Parts: sequence; structure tokens; C-alpha cells
Amino acid sequence: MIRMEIVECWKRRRGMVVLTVAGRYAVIMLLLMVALEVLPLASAEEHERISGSAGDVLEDDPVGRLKVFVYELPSKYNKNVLEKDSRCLTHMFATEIFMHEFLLTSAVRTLNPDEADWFYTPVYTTCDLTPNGLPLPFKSPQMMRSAIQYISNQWPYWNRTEGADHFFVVPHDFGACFHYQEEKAIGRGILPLLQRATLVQTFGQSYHVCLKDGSIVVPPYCPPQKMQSHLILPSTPRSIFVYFRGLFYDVGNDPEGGYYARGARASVWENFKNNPLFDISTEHPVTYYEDMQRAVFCLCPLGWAPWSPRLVEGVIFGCIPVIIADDIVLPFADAIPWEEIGVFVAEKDVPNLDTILTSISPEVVLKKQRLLATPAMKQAMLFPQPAQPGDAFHQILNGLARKLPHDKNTYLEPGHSVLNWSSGPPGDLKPWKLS
Amino acid sequence: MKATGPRSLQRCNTRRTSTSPERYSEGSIRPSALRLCVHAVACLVSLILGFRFSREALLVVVAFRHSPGDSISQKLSSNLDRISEPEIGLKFPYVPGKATDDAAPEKLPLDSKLTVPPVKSSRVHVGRHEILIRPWPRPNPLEVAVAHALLQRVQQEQRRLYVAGEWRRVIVITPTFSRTFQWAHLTGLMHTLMSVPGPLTWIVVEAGGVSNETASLLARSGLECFHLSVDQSMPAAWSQREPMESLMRVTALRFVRERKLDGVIVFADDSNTHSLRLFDEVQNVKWLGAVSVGILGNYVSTQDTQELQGLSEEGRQLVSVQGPACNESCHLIGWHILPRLEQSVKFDDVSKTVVSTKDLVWAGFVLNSRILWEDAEKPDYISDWDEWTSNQVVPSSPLGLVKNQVFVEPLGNCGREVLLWWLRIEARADSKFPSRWVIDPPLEVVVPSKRTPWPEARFEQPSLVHSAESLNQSDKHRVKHSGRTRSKQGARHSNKRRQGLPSKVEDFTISQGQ
Repeated sequence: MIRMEIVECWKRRRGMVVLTVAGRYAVIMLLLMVALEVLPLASAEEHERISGSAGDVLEDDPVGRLKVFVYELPSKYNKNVLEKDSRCLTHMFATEIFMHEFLLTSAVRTLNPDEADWFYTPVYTTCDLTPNGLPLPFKSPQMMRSAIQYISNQWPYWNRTEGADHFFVVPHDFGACFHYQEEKAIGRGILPLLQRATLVQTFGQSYHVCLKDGSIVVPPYCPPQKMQSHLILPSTPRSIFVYFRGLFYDVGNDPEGGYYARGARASVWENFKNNPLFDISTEHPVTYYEDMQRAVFCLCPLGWAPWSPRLVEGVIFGCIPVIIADDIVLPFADAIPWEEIGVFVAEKDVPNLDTILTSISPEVVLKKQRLLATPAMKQAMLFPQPAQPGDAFHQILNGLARKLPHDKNTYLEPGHSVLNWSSGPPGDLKPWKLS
Repeated sequence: MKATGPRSLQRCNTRRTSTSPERYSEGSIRPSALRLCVHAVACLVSLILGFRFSREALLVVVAFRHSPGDSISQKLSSNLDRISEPEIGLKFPYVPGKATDDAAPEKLPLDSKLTVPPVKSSRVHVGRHEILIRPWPRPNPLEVAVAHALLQRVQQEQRRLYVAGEWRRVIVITPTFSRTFQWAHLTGLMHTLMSVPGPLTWIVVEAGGVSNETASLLARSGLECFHLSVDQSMPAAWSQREPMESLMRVTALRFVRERKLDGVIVFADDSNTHSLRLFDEVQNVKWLGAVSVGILGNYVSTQDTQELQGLSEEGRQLVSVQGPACNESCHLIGWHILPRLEQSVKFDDVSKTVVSTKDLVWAGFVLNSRILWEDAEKPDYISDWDEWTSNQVVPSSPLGLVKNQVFVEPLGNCGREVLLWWLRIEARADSKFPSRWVIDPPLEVVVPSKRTPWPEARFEQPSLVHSAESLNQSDKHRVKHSGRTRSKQGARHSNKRRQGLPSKVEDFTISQGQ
């Protein structure tokens, strides 16, 4: 016979309900739990956890969740390009080079392509620089087409899916549209061969031709050591209300104004040049990074393209970014809740910027500063060498992992082809060789 | 907008020259007058409007002429492509012809065979936008005030997160006694201490017993106060006051020792003015620190004219500062003391102290309160409390607490920053003032002021009153003097004029009100 001991919590004694010892312990534990829930959490928090629409995913580890195969391209597509001009390693488009280096030594890399979930093509399309250091995109489409032709001839994996399980890093101004001028870029559209591939790019604007559904938007490259060497004490009081350094009018390319930044930067200057709360000018001070750490708000208006490294700098230095770019898509938008961290101002509301910023309550400002102070947030914006957990490389891999498993449209019937290899402007169809 | 007039005119000209070959190749012999007219009008319009209009004008002209607009515009754009592609300087020759303000980017160009899916509508488009300027782009003062309040809150939070753990309690010791200037001095000091951003204890030692007036002032401050007293009243003679004050301070130090109060001890005399930086700076003291004190209203007793003007024998201006003197490597090498004795004193041998401790004011020193405790762990160079207070003479400065002056820590950037000032101004011992500075009962004589805002009121020129330049005094409470009449402002003016002469403080006799 099974005997079960039932611990009595209470019993009747002399007509009253009395708690036994076990009952008393239970009540005490219950009260403690209730008290801990009800007690306000310590407000001496320096930072808060960040969780975006995809959940609390900033600190996920991609290792084990996906496998990436890195194609071995001839060095004319990557190493030789870099040897020609080493400035590619320090400009804001250096993401493509560092991503390649990271993947070569990463734990997600697999040498067996049959078990790979994603395929990476290391082609440096943004490394053809002018003497001033700006990349020329005119040969990039040809270079990309040539690379894709190579991988489709050497391996069967491209034709199997026509690129649906391949990803490419295209950090240029308008991504895979491969032009610096927005009208021309829109006119060209995304390179037809990349129609089905996943693009990792810095450009992000909703309803725009050059942002494909399913792209992963990343921050531009900012050298981490340079920024960290300019850190000052966090107890330095923040005494600047709004800070901005940069052009308001691009006199060389748009003398009359109104084209550059869709007139938003010019509007900021004309409305607030005499406002003592706004520390804005076109100077290049030596103490730029230190000044950002002494400011509460940092303006991040659009320029010729909506994205800029100022967002990264603002996050690293704890300055709340004020984003003035309509319809912009910010990096890792599913992992980082940008509305809670930055302030979004529509371009038509720029003349009222001072009213908007002063109407934000101090509690909201302090909360944003706490979110910015989170180490996970700062780490997610950087591309350190060697890679560290939680950095932008890992966020890209997390983004790719969240797109798995591939849906049934990925794999095509053998012989079935969707892409048209001869579409595009005639200049793109020419063969490419490294000059 | 910028001076685009001449530039647009220039562009008009260049466009003309660049496109004229095409025109000629089209078959026309020379540009028609009508076309020239339209082009000229377009140039004028662009001069007025302030932006380039020539491209748009070209389109209009093309349509006017019923020429195949497509081929020309395509030829032009391909021309531009050839110009722009090998460009080294990376100019953006804008082609506003294709995308004007009205055209949306979804309209793909004619020669596109791209297979992009049709984009959804967007309110953002490429092209010239208006630069929005509000009609009154001036800062709103209310918003500026709100912004400053926000900055204050942010800085308070920063202090709480990153600095809070380090702030040591400040123990302020103030000897005081009832006199004319006491209320003014104590009010100022009280407000300074209320502004200190950290925990503070105020020990006020009063001569002649605890007075209700002082107690009421302390109660109003809201600070943590200890109101001590010494039974003897303050002697009238100036030279005897300093030892009495030293006695009062030592009483307060004994109190700190008995109660084992923990913190940094600052000697804030009521006649001193302190900067808030002083309280930040004294957080760094380890055992005994020295700060530079500015001495204002310098009292020199000699009749030498050069010294009266504050000049040394060589004619250089002397600075009335007392404090530590440092060499380049920020080590204490001597003291700056009051110029009536010597300008500065260096010690040659670290064991010999050249400066007698009587010459240094208490206010220039800062102590760690543990220096007074019986059983705290102290380094060897700290002398014992009993040793220091044992002899009959009351110590005249805390320098005796360290056995060797080289261990004194100079604060405030090694004494270069003057963080507090001693205002040497006092009333005569027999000057009277209303209790708590409340005038009750009203004054005996009421004299209307010379200038009154009501022109029809009659006024007599009183014979006895000396009308000074005091426009800001109300007419009811005019001070009446007998004999030499001098208002407060007059006295101050005369003080300034006679700089360096023995500044005997004027007689402030107000009619009785007690």
C-alpha cells in the first residue's frame, strides 16, 4: 500500500485555524516572493536591456545556428584590389573587407558547401577610389557580374537557387544600385543578378528601389580604436544641448541648395544658426569626439544618402541621435528598437526642431541615455578586429540565422531559370578586368 | 540665396555654346530669333528666381519646336554620361530635366528594361526641395529655460551615477559673534553652503553664549547645524580678536573629535566668500591641505607710501594672496603670506620652518577629520591632539598638526587657483544695528528724499540731511546723520578713492531700533 505523507499546513485546534510549521514557512516564502515583485527595482541602473521587434537578440550567439561557405575567388576580386589602394581599409565602406576576414576565421564557416545554409562571395566592389578617396561605382556592376559568372561556372550552388541562399556585402551609397547619384541609382535599380540574393548594405530607405525586401541594413564602418582612444570620463558634465559638425550646403555640387539633403541641412542652418542651444558649424575641430561626449543630442541629418557614420558615433559616445531622414531604415532594425533610443524628426518639421527637442521630458531623455549606455548596444555598432561577441559581424550572422530555414521558393527546379543574364544597361554587360 | 545671378548667366552662355553644335547638326543654319528670345527670357527668370533655369528652358524650347524631344534629351544625357564617367574630381552634374519636383521616381526612364517590381508610393522624392525657414527663427526664451533645466537634470544624473560614491561629507566650522556685519556675512555664507551639492555639516561657534538671532538664522537654512558657544564675549580690541577666534575654532575641533564626525573640515569664517569649486577641490585632501586665500581690504599699518599702494620696493605689484607656493614640479616649497610682512618665504631646509604660524589664516587650511580622532590610523608625521593643544597658548593655525610642513598638501592646482576670499571689512565695535535687521518701531525722523517720482508733491530741502546720490533708497527710510553725514554708498566710494590708506570703517549710526 502506498502511503503518502501529506504535510498538513493547517489544522484545527480549539476551533481556530492554526498554521503548522510547514504552513508558516510556506506563507513566509509567499510573502517574500510577493514583496520582491512589488519592491521597486533599484533605480541606480546605469543601463537597460535592449530588445527589439525580434526579441532580446542582441547577445545571441550565431555559432551553431547557421553555416556559411566562403567561395574561393581568384585574388583579382579581392586581394589585388586591396593591394592597389590600402585606403579601402579605413574608409566607411571597409565593411566588405572586414566581413571577409571575419568569415574566414569564424566558427560558422564550413568547408563543406553541401551542408552550408548561406554562401558568401568575397568581391570588393567599393574599392576603386579616386585620388580624393571616394569610390567610383562605374565598374562595380561589371565586377559583380563577373564574380557571379565565375561562381556559377565553378560551383553548382548558384544555379541551384539562383542566389537565393547567397549573400553579398554592398556597402556603397545606394547599395546594389551602384551609383552615388540618387536619380541614376533609382534609374538603374538593383543589379538584376542580385534579385534573389540577400544584400548586406548600409543604405536603408523604405519604399525605395535600392532597398530590397529581406536585406540586412548594417552601420557604416567606423574605426573602433580611433573612437575609443578619444573617450573621456563619463562624469564630464554634458553641457551642450544639440551638436552637429558638417556641411549644410554642398557648394561644389549643389550651389543653389535644395537638392543636397533635400534641403533639410540648409533648413537646420537657417533656422538655428543664431540659437545658443545649437552648437552647429562646418568646422572640423580636433575635439570632435570629445565634444560629442559633452552633448545631449547629436543631429544625424541625411546628406546625399540618408545614412551617415554620425549615428554610430552618437551611439558610442552616448549622445542621443536626432535622425532627420524621412523613411530611413536604421541598422539591425529588428534587433534594436530605434524609436526608443533615438529621436525621429520629419524633414518638414525641421523648423520646429527646438520645440520638439525641448518638449521631450527629462525622464525620457534619461531612459534613452541608459539604453545608449548598454554595452550590447555600443558593441553592435562596431566592427572590431579581431571580432568580439555581440559586435556588428555577429549581428549580421544573427540576422542571417533569423532568416533560416529557407522557404520553398529558394530551391528551383533543375533547368528552371528566373534571372535574365542580359538585362541591364549595356555598359554593365561588358566583361570586367582589374585595371 | 547665394549670388547665383552671374553664375546662371554664365551657365546660360556655356549651355549655348555646348549645345549649339547639336543645333547645327540638326540641320538648322542658325538659331532662330524666337528661340533666342525664349532663351533670354529663361535666363532673366533664372536671375530673378535664383536658380538654374536653363535646362528646363531647353525642354520647353524642344517641345516648342516639335523636334523629337526624346532623341535630343537622350543625346544630351548620354553626352553628360561621357563627361561624368572618367571624372576624377567627382562632380555631380545634376540633370534636373528628368526628375523635376512633380515627377515621382517611380516613373522609370524610357529605355529601362529592368525587372524591378513596381515600388509603392512614397512621399519622399528626389529633386529640388524647398528650404523651410520659419518666419521668426529666434530662440524662444521659455524653451531655452526648459533646455537648461534638462541639462541640469542630466548632469545631476551623471553625478549620481559616476561621481556619487566619492563625495565626502564637508564639515564647516564658523566662529561668529554678534556685530553689525554678522547678519550679512552669515546670510551669504548660509546661501553658499546651501548650494553645495553634497552632504554638509555646519558647526557655528558663537562668542558670548548662544544667541537667538543666530539660532533663527541657522534654523532657516535647512542644513545640519551644531550651534556651539564659548562663554567669553568677543573682546573689542582688534588684536585680541584673533586669539579668541582661534579659541572658538579649537572648541569646534574638540567637538568634532569627541563626536567622531567624519569628513573634510573647512574653516569658513563668516567674513569669507567661497567659490563652490572649493568644496569640490577639498574632496581630494588626504590629511592636511592648504588652499590659496585672497585677502581683500588689506590693512597695512606702516606709513610707507609704496607699501600703501601695495607695491614692493622694486615697484612691482604685490598680490594679496595667502597660500602655498609651489615649484614647477608641483611640490610645496614655501608660502605666500600677507605683504605687510614679507612677500613670500621659501624654506631652504625642510626641517626648519621659517614662517611663524601666526601669520597664516585658518581659512587657508583644510583637514581630514580623522586627524583629530584619538584612535584613527594616522601617519607618523601627524602630531597628537594633546600635544598640539597642551601648551597654554591657543594654536593660531592648524600647521602645528603636522610635524613637518613639507607634508602639507597644496590644493587648487597647487595653490594657483584662489578659491576663497577674506573680506577684511568690519564695523566699529560700538556701531549699532537693528536686531535681526527688522526695523521696529519705525524710525524717529522721516525725511522725504530729494527726488520723488511724483512731481506735484512738495518737498523741503532739509537743512541737516546731506543729500547723497542715493536714488535707490526709499524716501521713508532715509538715513539721518548728525555731523558728518555719509551714506553707505558714500563710504564705499571714499574707501575706493583712498586705497591703501588706513581703512577706518565708517560710523553707521542708525536711529535706535532694538
